[in-house]
Amino acid sequence: MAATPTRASAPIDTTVFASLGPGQLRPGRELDALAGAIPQIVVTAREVEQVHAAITEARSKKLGIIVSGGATMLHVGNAPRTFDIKLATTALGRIVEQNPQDMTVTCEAGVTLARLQRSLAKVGQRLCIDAALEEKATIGGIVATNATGGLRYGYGTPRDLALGLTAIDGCARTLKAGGRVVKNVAGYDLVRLLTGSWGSLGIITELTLRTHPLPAAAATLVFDFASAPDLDAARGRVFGSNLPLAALDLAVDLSADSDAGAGSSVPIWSLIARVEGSEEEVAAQGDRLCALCGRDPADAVEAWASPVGADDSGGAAVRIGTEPADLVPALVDILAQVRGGAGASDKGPVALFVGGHLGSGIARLQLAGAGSAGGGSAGGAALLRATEVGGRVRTRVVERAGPGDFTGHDVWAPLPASFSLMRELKRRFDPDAVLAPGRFVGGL
Amino acid sequence: MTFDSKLLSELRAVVGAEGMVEGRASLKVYECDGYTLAKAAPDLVLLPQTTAQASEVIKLLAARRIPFVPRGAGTGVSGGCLPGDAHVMVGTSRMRAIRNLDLANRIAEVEAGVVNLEVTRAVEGRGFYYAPDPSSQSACTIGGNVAENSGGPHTLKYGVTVNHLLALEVVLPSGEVVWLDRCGEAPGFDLVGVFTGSEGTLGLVTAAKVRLMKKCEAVTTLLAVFPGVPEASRAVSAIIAAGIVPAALEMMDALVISAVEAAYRFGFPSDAGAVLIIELDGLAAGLDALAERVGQACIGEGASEIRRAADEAERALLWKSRKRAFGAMGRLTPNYCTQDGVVPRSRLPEIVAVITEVSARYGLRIANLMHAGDGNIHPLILYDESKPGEAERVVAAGDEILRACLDLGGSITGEHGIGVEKLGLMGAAFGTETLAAMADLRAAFNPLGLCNPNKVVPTDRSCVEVVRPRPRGGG
Ligand SMILES: Cc1cc2nc3c(=O)[nH]c(=O)nc-3n(C[C@H](O)[C@H](O)[C@H](O)COP(=O)(O)OP(=O)(O)OC[C@H]3O[C@@H](n4cnc5c(N)ncnc54)[C@H](O)[C@@H]3O)c2cc1C
Repeated sequence: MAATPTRASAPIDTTVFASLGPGQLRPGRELDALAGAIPQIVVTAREVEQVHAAITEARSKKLGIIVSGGATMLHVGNAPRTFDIKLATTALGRIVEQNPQDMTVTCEAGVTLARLQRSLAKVGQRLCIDAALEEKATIGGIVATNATGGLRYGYGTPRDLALGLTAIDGCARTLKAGGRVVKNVAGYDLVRLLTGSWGSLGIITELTLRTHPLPAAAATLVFDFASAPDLDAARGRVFGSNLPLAALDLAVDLSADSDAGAGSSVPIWSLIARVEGSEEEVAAQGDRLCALCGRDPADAVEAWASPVGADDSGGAAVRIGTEPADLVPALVDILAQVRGGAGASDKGPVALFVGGHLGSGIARLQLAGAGSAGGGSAGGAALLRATEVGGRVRTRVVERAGPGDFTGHDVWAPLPASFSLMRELKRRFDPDAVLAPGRFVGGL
Repeated sequence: MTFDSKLLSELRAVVGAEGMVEGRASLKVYECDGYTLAKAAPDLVLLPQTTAQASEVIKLLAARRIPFVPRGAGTGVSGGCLPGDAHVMVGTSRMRAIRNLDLANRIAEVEAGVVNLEVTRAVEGRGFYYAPDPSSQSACTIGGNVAENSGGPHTLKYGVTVNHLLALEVVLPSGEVVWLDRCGEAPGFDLVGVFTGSEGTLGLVTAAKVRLMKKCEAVTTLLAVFPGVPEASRAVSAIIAAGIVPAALEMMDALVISAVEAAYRFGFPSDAGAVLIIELDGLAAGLDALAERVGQACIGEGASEIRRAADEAERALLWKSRKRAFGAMGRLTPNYCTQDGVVPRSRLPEIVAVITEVSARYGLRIANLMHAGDGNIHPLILYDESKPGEAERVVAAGDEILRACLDLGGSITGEHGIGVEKLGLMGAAFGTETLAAMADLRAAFNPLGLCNPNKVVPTDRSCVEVVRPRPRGGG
């Protein structure tokens, strides 16, 4: 696809960025392109004033700004209507204040998750967010996308953990929302408005989050099942129990396909539980889990990595949402369609990775990258067809439609019933549509 | 305000005679909520029974640009239900259906007028409960809880109302009905998060899908007795510093203890300067060891005695003493005013010092009740409204305490809301650009200002110095 901006834009006055030091301003390049659009400039902000200047310049010329944190989710969204300034937050890297006694931490938006975790670990704490690619993903990006991993089961999502933030909205107003305390109902909740708004209402520059103590002991237990109904029955028992699990995830291993050919062998369904607490609690939960699953774990390790990841391999990827009790049956249907459907046109094995959050009814399905088995457009098309919203599948986000292909798909589905309210909010917080124009739900 | 007879008959056709409250005597019930010193009865109260009825009446009002105020049980303590410029109230007291219990997915769909405790009552037989537990939970409604984003003693571990909401059915000020949905990863802005805590200014909540929790295997409740509030405050920090997150961590000082002891006879030591009520829950395994560690942390900060509730009856009485503490205050004072500030929990000793100093300087007794684990203070300023000038001193003292909370990095309200009570402090809490953004947020839902006007965010009109009367109760 030809790399050209979708809308011709006025040239940018780089003198407004006079405060930028070496390496903070450069012309856009091919590798910055999104859906074929290359930005005029790439600004790496070191100070909040530089974010402010970028928005002010964009407003005056009706330019489009797309914020880039660790760029782990940057590819997700509709094709931008205009893309003139790529604004990187990676140099907004200060950990402003750690308050272990208050169980809060305040940092700038560009701090990576891994760096914050290392810093918190020194005082015996952590952020209970296990979003993927933690060495790259920034806290600002995680909050802007409400990104989670399996720990959402026990500790909630960024919507539950973000206490306060500073953001510059599309009107170039500095919003200081929430605070540094764990309980606060003063005024409207601008923190939740911005959390999960995917950079479309404001650019987050600083955040305060709730932290938790590091558990004294922890274990990850994996229970394998040869059939989906067996796993689902165990899931029902665990979900219906009062075990205070930290995570309750799912992984489906289809690699058996590679040996035996598409559709001919049985995938392995794994229930993955994370237990945390004192030594005694961890041991007791492990015993209860074995009883509920009717077997010993196939694997038990101390480390944790949620099977619902993100990756940059370029293969088609979607996230679906169902009622928790519908997730496994929905996946069974989808897998039957994808494996059958792909087999029809390209008779290769389907390299599909499936991870899910059993407590929230969320799964991510991803084909291996271009060039690998099943990564071709036929596999991608089958995956998109099989996961369309309807029946058990209530929501879908197309993270990546296929190799190089952004357009022609409904990235966010369905259009929410409350869409007209969302459009009103966008109009009032970003009247000139300078922030991620067109990228979010319904082309906001 | 008088209404034209055509409107009245149209409204009656929607809600029926039982759904309309008119006439001075009947309307008196609605003249205030838990914030009792400002009173103004509405001219008309509408009590729809269904969402469709609520939508119809709000459409009829909107067509004539008549503002209205939503009302639940009227236990709010910041004056959110005061009619102000709105002469019509739309109440949810007849919307009390539990629409659906989906235990396989741990979801209850309930109408806005359902009382908080009724949700738990409906599911406890099967081991479930609804976690947010404001002290007023036997009276307040789910709609009111959503409007105020209410908390409770167990907020420390389990979070406030918004952390337990999946979707809301709302009637917008235009009368349009819309579901706001955040289930799974529903695309779009978190409008459930935005609506929660909006104090009835964005529309009427008619139903909510709430998350149900499973009762823990084991629970234990400790009472730690301290010589004074400073020692108890330091113990709060010590427990958190030890990496322990109790289910609840509440404080009462000597004045509160004397009132609740007289009322409920739990057997608090008569010489206690302060007590902490500490609840631990989870698995049975390890709970004793945890209780031991908590006890040691308290003793390390000067606790003279640690008591553990021997059985469910003793535990229930302890919680009754705490949750009904407000009701007991009448034994100490003709009137009292509660503030609802928040400080980072490590700054509790500092705010306690401020309260002590303010109390001495104003010559007013102040009793301390706190959701201490959250840093959420509820100083109760005791006074007698018949003494000239005393009520004004109470307002000034309360303001000083809340401003001190801001100076310590905290907030002017943790769970009671701004209402009309704290409008005058919003300018101290937020900058002008943030306040302008909040006004924009309101306008996106409520462009004509028809729903609960002049609350939460100062408008040009309400920016003028509001006389801030004194509330009762709360917490
Ligand atoms: C003794 C006592 C103890 C309390 N303890 C606590 C506590 O522990 N924690 C806590 O957080 N609060 C506490 N409160 C405060 C109060 O109970 C809560 O704010 C409660 O959620 C209010 O619910 P309600 O149904 O009484 O609402 P109301 O008082 O009727 O209304 C409160 C506000 O919500 C709006 N509203 C009500 N229903 C709706 C609806 N359906 N849609 C839209 N807006 C609506 C009203 O317009 C008003 O602004 C206490 C109060 C008392 C008197």
